[in-house]
Amino acid sequence: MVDYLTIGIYAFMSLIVFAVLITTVAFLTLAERRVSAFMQDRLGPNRVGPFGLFQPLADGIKFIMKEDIIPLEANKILYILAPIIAIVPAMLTFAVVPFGHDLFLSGRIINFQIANFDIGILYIFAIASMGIFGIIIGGWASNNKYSLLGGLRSASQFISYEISMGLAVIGILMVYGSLKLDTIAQYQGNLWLGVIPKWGILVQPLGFIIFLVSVFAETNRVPFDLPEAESELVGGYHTEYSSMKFAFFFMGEYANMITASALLVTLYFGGWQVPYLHNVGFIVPGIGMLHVAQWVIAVIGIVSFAIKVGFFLFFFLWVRWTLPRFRFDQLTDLGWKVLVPLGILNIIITGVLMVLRVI
Amino acid sequence: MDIKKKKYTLKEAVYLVEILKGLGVTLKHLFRKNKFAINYPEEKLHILGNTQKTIKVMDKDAQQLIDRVEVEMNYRGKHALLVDGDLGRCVACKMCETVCPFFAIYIEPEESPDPRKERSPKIFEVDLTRCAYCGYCVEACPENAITMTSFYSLVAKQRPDLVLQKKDLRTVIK
Repeated sequence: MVDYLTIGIYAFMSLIVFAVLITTVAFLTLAERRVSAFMQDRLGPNRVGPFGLFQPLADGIKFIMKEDIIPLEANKILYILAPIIAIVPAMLTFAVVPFGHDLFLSGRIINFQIANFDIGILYIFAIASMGIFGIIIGGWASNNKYSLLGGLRSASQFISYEISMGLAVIGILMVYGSLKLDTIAQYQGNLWLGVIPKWGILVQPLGFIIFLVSVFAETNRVPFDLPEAESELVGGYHTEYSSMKFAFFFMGEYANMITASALLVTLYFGGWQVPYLHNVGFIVPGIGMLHVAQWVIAVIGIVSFAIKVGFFLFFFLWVRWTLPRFRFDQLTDLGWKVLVPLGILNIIITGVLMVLRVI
Repeated sequence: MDIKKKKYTLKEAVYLVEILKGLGVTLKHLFRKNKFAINYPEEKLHILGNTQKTIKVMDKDAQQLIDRVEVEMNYRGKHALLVDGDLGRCVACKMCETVCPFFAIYIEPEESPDPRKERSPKIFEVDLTRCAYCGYCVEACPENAITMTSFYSLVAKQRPDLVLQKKDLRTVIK
């Protein structure tokens, strides 16, 4: 029998997640400007509303009101399609990210995860790779050499770093033995030697660094923002885009950042897990335990997930205003000559350690 | 000339430690208290006048200037007609009107109420939409009557508001 209530719950949840995602994207644009300003000893936009909090609203209105220009020589269909292709996968990937502890509610288990696929990580990789088509098609359809160069750079960069990212994730999969993000997050609540939580960063420190660097490249963020390198390529792949289409590319980039942060948290920082918090409450070995109600655990889980993701979003901005951009040859060098061998090394080390039953 | 490339130590070559150092620097700036920005309409730069004496510009906005950063003395902002005691210095000789390269000044003289001089300006207009703040009028003035203040916030909703009248320019010397 089809359980309509469960379907309803998940439909509602997906709606909420979508709303939160869009809102976070909006405020991330503000956060980027404010954080960058503060790091440069400025103040940033603080005019619209208290502390400039309504700035995203003003930006949105401005984007909609702007003239929507389609270049005469552009391929019209692909030109319009590109921003859509850029933003949709960015939004889709979040579906498999678990963001809270399972909640038992009147005989029903509610996963705080929109879709609990068996293929979890593979789904993310598959869908996230679609996003690159938006950039390539956008670059090509603009019929502008700078846009095309931006798109091409993006393609080669994406291919290079997808490999090292995959290699880093293989280490995680070996340790946790599952593609399900839910299971991976759950597993990280286990304790190592009875004391230390088995978070991915402790189990896979090398893999974490590889994954982190690759994620920066995948999301086209500084120091790997070559596709849009302002100083070389005018605006990169979105040089010709204006109005809401440009906003879509922008939102896609930020949504990718959110998904990347969520993935980093889920794979390497225990997902929603708080150390020593189990199904029934806090259990600290050697000290004692504290009972906590089911719904409180669920809320704590969601809050801790939000805090962790928030930190990584801040980290993205933080790195952006710290590091200079890589040159293109340095970028490919780092990808192929450093990260790929390191990824393979990481797999070998993980394998050896697993045989020795250390992890 | 040979350019010797610096040999990196292992710590520098790995790059991660250096990145962390950089992150530390930016974080320090993030939490730095005194920012350089000035919240313009609420806070304003305080600029001292261009004469040796400090001129108090009789303007509501100018009095709200917040003493935050001092800029050099000889600033060429809004014009001022100096007034000693009750009476203006200007004798309506039209020197400034003549010298002005932009025809920004218009003067209409009248008989002066002051027995010490013959004429005084009935109308003294400075058209700020024409003025380039070159300061020639100040140079030309034989009575040191016209001068330029440090008041720089020159905005108006209508063009006629930017044509300053005698009452807008009147500045009392303390």
